Amino acid sequence: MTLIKVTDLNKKGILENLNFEIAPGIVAVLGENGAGKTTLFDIIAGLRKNYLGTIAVNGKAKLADRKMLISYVPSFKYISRFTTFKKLAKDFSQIYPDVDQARLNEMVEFFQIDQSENLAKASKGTIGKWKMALCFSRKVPVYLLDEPFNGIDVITRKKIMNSILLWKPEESVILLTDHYFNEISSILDHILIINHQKLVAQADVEDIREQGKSIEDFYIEQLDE
Amino acid sequence: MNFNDNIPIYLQIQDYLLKQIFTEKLKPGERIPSIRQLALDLTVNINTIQHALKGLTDQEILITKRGDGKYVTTDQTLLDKLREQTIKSEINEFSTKMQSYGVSNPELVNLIERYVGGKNDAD
Repeated sequence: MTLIKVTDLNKKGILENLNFEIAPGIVAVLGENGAGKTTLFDIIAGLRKNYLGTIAVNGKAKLADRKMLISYVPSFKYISRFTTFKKLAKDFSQIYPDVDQARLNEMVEFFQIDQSENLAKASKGTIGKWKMALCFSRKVPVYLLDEPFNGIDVITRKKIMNSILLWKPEESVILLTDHYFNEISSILDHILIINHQKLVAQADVEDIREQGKSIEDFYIEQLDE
Repeated sequence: MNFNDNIPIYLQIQDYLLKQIFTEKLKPGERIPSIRQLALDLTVNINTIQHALKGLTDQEILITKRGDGKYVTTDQTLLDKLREQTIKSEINEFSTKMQSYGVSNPELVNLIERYVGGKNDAD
């Protein structure tokens, strides 16, 4: 069952002729810094409009239809330092009417989020948890996580991995990017590798291991070609 | 759990479950943890757990009780045979490895006896 279909995606200077299909599961998009992963996510999520090609989620290619099916962890770059999680959650719920409050509360509980803490005081690990809680509070088929483990300590990383295993709906896809994929490879189903603006490889991770290779081996191999 | 990233994880999970069974941490007839629970305990993708369990179910080491999860078989003969096969395979691998270090089988037996004897003395 194809959940995401990208056809002839081109963005000058950043992405070249991307064609791929993604089925439900946990999928990592790998590539060097600047390879275009974040741009790809922005385009899929409907945040960037200057590109050629089509993106379809569950067969829906129109932007307005697609946006409702995707949960994208927001960047906190432009949010006031004094914003508390409570306020963030409230605003998020207003923007996205499909936020499941019960689920949000479960995740706040799971991550032990102090809702009155503000952004300025929150550690990287805490912010990581905030983003996961918001992202997973919506019941949609596609979750996009851009470097969810960046700068996060081991314990928090394990907690976030467990939250993914606990809360991922069955017929949904989680598309994520990460540089430390060694530590998260045990939860992945599938990987895509982007290099020099192109999609150079796509594989099921267990197939890679059947060949006696680690994900890292395969990744390095693909980048060398 | 720390997995080897260049061996299929579903095989490593099967291995882990067999160890649990052989050491009686999971007893014959006992219900194994749910797929979700195993995924969380081992921090592994649910599909991978399912793949592992399917293999063990196909070999009749695990029995599916409809709607009620999976249980360790009560067929002790099967479990004994499996244990024997597994141990034999490990011994084979070990002795082959020792041969590559130039250790002959008679020397190996001697060394193991001394090793085990030494451990028993220390206890």
